Amino acid sequence: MASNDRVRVRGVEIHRPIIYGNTAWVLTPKEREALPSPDHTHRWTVAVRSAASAPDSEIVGGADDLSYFIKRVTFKLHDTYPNPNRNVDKPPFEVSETGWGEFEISIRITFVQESGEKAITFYHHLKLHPWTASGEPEIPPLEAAAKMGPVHSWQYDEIVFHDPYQAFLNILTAHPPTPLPKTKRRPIPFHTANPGSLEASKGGTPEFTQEMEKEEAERLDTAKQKLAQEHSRLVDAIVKKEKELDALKKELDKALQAS
Amino acid sequence: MAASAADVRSILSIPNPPASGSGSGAQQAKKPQQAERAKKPEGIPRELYALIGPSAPTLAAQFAKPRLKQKPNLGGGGRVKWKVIQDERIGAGARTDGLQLSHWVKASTDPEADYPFAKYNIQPPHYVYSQDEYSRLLEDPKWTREETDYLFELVRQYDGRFYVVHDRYEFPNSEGTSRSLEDLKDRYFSVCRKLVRNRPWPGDEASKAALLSSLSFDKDREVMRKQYVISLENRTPEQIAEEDALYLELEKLKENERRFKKDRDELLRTLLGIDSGLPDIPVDEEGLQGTSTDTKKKKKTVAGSVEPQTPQTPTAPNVISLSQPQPKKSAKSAAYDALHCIHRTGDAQTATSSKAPHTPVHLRSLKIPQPKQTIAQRIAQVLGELGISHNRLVMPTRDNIARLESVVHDAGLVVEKKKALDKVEQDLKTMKARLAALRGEAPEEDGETPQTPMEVEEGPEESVVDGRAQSVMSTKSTRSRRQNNEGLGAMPPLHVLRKCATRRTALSRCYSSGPGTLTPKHSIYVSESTDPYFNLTFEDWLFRHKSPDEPALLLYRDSPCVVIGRNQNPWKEVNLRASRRTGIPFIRRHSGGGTVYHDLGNTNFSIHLPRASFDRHATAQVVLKAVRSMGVDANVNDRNDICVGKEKICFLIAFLRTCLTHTNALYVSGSAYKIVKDRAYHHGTMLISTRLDTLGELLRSGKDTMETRGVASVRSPVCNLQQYHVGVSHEKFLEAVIDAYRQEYDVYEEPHLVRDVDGYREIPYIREGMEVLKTWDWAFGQTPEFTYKIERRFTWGTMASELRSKHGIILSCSFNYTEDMDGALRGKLDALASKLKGQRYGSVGSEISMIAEGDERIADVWTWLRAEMDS
Repeated sequence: MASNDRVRVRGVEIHRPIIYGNTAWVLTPKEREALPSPDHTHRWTVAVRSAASAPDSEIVGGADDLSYFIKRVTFKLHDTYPNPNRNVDKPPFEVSETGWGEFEISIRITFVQESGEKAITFYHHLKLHPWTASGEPEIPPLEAAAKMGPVHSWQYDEIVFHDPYQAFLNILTAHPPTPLPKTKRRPIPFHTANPGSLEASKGGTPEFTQEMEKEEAERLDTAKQKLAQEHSRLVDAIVKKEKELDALKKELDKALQAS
Repeated sequence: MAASAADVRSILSIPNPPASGSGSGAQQAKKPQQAERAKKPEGIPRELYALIGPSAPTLAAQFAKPRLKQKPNLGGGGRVKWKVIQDERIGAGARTDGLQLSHWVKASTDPEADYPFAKYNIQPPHYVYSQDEYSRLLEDPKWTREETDYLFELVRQYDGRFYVVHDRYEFPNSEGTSRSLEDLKDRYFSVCRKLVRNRPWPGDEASKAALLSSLSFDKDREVMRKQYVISLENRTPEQIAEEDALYLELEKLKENERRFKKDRDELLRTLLGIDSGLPDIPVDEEGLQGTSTDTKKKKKTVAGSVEPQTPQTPTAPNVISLSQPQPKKSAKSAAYDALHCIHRTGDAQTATSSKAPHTPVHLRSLKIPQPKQTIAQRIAQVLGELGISHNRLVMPTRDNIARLESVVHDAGLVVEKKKALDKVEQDLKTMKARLAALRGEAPEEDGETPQTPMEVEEGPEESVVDGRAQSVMSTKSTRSRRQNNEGLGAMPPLHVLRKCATRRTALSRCYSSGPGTLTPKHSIYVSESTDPYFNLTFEDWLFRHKSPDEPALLLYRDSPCVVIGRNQNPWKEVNLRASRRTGIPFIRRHSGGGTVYHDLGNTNFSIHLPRASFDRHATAQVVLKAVRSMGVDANVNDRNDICVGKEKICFLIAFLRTCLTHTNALYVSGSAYKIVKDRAYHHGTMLISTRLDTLGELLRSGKDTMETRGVASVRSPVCNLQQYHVGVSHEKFLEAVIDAYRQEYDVYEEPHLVRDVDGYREIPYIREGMEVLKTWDWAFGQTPEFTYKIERRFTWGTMASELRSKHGIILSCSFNYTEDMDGALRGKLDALASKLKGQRYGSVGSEISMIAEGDERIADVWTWLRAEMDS
């Protein structure tokens, strides 16, 4: 078996669904007073979690413990935070802080040694203020924002391993991810790529579902059909204009000969 | 079978002669007949009974209960009424040629209903293609465009009935050879296949593949098949006989072989208990006789193409199976894979042998396709209209990414088609104009009057200046500001940004109410004006108001002036005395960079692009292409200036500028703010026949001891384009740049002439912008901090002074004097220095002169300082 450990299983691509993002809450005036920095207006948690949500859980995602393939997650906060590089070596892979502004957080995932893979880095834009339908950010007064409840900004993604080592593949297959629920039980996580989901995202802790994938697939298919229609319309228009152009050319030649 | 007269009568609802009665009488008329032949046994058809008559044989009893399936009851069993309809419905639903047909229908059918067979009248899809598609995909040396068109027209006309098409095919072929049916089919189907493949497909891949396979046509095979059929038809009786004989012989041999194997198997089994290992010969089920009429098999035998059956050796241990058993994906393993999120790429065999580098772990969303840079903006726009983000997905799974990829690909095709349509329309327009000109008519007014109401686009920008953002901006550290300066070329100081934003806020209010505003909807502008104030402001207006995802080009010439960069010091860059003497003004422009001299001998261009597709090299290439197209062998140096040899003929002054818009990253914890770079422009000036002497005089200041925090110009050797090519003129350069620009950015628009009479000057933004350019606050007041050290030997001693100024205001003035200076002078100098503090550099009020009164030395110093500041 040991000799097999360093052998890559060719032709296999295995992925693990994760979500990353943040949830933000408006601080109450009392909480603010208690803080060392009273200009902070929000409390937030940025995290990397498994995509499926645990039943009856108040957090987005996180049904599975990802530490079987993630060794460490490093969150790089804004430079103005003390000790901005936060290493999290054991689950939950998350950082909670307070602040008053949005910024880009760099997230670096280091994998367990068996994977033989390098760390990956990606970014998350810390979202504190409520989503708006127009996509244009507007910052409502704190009281109004507090009434709207916590702000969720989560991105689904998949970590894809190609040709994993046998040992690593064994680890992965020993921990099958909890599948996403088939149907919608809770609000939809809002995403800017689907502004129409704003209403459906309200009212509680959102959850990722397979339905969302299907819904997006349908949107893409509809777009594809519309594009095909548009294309054939354009082709027809072009052919028509070309005929017109040919006729004009002939007319022009005639006119040139005549003159 | 001929129907009997009674049948005809019953069908046509004509009453039988003996039975008189109404239309329904047929029913009653029959009954007595049947009663008459009451003996007719059940199960015998009426016709048969009519034939044998009442003298039915006793056999009839045997038919009494035949075990036959009961006949379906189709309607009223002869009680149906029929009528003729002269029907335009047939025409309405199914015909387009207006032919009217009459036919029989049941009387009970609803006369208003649609013609029931209209739904079967389906036209096969008719494919059309445009010129660019033809030249890109469909070229074939054997076919001309005209002939292909002719073929498609015929196919359309005869609904794809190729025998008819072939029969009617009468295209005067240049080669003189006639097209065979296969030629026609081959051409038609290959064109259709190419079109289907290269066009967006609304459905899924499977249906596309199905359509493609229905369009497949293998000409060689079809020709061969026909040849075979012909040769089969043309065999002589002798040949047929010989084939039969040969076939019989072959079967006999096979039979012998089988018998031999059977015997040997038996023998070995009984003796040794093993199989013979001889290959099995399949037993021909049909036997020898059954094949004599089977022409297909005979054919095969004649051609000798009976494929040797693969030896089946399930029990033979001495034969090794070479073919790898294909791993079959059972439902169970598929479920396992789905559970563990495993995707098998299937090339396990090849992967082991190849040395392909390992694909490292990645996020799935990284594989979201990136469209080509040049059309990315347009694709984003097309998809944006459909509510799809071209680079983000809510659920970036494998399937959805594949879907997005095909959507993006289709969007690319749509964008291409849109471009093609624009081009055709443009051609059509020019053609019409030419035709009209030829006929001596007044050309059609094609310059759409840009008198559409202005849309207020700056709404969200206002919030940039709300209290919080402002305070963040001002607390921004100098370090990050410097970063910005490096990153963005030249960033105006923050307070100016705020000022600009406020100004725009005020302006946007004007727009919403002000009538007669203009929008920058063209893509190529040529300004007729030579007023530098107007041209520079127009450029700024175009930059700020042009839709951010379209490119724009502006070309103009200015009357003589010196244009300094946004963050430059006019006292250092410009010889102000020469400027005053010659009356040539200097202007601070909105973009950063160095100082240039403009006159009618040089042509200015600016290329505006969306930030995402901005590439300083690409824009330089556009101009380079233009210059080369005029026959000058120019090159681009590493600063993106265009040179001939070592000498510059063109400066690309400021390379980009950002537009401050509100984003979702406006302010952050602690201190940072973000400027969205949604648009950038590159502008430059081409020296064609500039007065290089004036240029030199005006740009010389000689103040080496003046140190500015802003941008200093880098002097470089210059020369005029005309030195290399006498024929070059402003107009020719315009044409060349416009052509190069059109090619690069696929714009098919005619240049739009900006005339003074068009009212552009009345646009509040431009009107106020021009005023601002002329104010002291802008021209001098925007000067970054600088210090100026000067020294002068007077008859009474040596004097050294250091002037410090920021935003054109004197921050401090200090004097260095030698020890022997008397106290009175020192006091007066200090008083002078404190008076100067806070005054405008270069235009100090006259009340200062009061101090100078009474002491000649102070008067000397003051005259000296004033002259220095003034130059």
